[in-house]
Amino acid sequence: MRIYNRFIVSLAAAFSLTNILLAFSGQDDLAVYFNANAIAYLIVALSHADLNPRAQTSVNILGALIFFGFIVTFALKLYEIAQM
Amino acid sequence: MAKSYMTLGIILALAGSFIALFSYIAIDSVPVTALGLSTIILGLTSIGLANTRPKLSPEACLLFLKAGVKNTLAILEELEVKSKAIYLPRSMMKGRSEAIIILDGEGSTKGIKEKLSGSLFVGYEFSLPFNERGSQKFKEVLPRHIVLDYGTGSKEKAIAITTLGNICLDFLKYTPGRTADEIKSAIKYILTRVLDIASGVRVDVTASTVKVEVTGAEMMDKDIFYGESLYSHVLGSPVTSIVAAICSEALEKPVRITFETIRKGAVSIILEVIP
Repeated sequence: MRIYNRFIVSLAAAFSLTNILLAFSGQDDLAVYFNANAIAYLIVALSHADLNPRAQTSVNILGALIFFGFIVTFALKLYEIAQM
Repeated sequence: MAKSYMTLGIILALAGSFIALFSYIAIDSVPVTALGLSTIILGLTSIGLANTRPKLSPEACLLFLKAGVKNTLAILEELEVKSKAIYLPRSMMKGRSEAIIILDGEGSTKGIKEKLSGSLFVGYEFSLPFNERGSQKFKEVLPRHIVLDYGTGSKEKAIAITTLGNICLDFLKYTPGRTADEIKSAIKYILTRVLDIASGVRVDVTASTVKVEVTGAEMMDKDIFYGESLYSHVLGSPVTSIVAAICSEALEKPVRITFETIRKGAVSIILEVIP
């Protein structure tokens, strides 16, 4: 139970920190926010590799979906650059 | 317990969706939309974790555990057992990990050591009524032996008990090796990842002893498992029982708990490896 709580609290802290830093730096692109949060999620998930195997599977599935979103936004950015 | 994570997850996901949509459509604020997206991710994570928790509450689990422990305790009290249990690897008990308790005290330890280094024990099978003996299910479920002979004398008997540690071996994906690192990794896997009842483990292996330090251990029910209770004296606390069973399996030798102290969540254990 303590590991789960620690994981959720770490995730909330990482997301808050990321969003606050980007907001204060004047960032106004939603894709940048999403990608930064996606990276934060992947880092926190990786640093909690000692979750039990079933929880790890669940976290990995969500991580894969977020990573897919990251790839899509990245591809869209590349497409935008190519169009210029 | 799973319910609280599920409730938290649903609330966060719904609140996040509302914040994201409202800020994106109505107030056109990117940071607030990002906050909504983060909240949705947090909610989905919580829902994902909720599905991996057991449906039973810890109180219900403790109820079953207490019933089992009290029955074992009743047997120990009835037999007036004083000696500490010896944890045996599966290779010595026909594939079953068990702890044995010598009934006639410490005096017979030498004899049992000689027997352990040789062949398997000879035991008595349960005597069941005819209709139950005919059932294949009962034959598979019931333990093969409970009272064991380890010598020729009438007093040279022991009882075989399945402890918490013995059952935990089923969670191991493979049998750990004999080195301190491999044993540490197996103990850490069970205590921190599978059971989540400790936070750290340190292991030191010598030829005749294994020293283990477990930090951040959950104390469970102090009245039953710790202190002066007969159960903890004979079989060790839950954490110690798990450590002993894993060490025995890894070293492929019988081990006995010779020392155990618990101080503020830190458990120090010394196991004697019986050659």
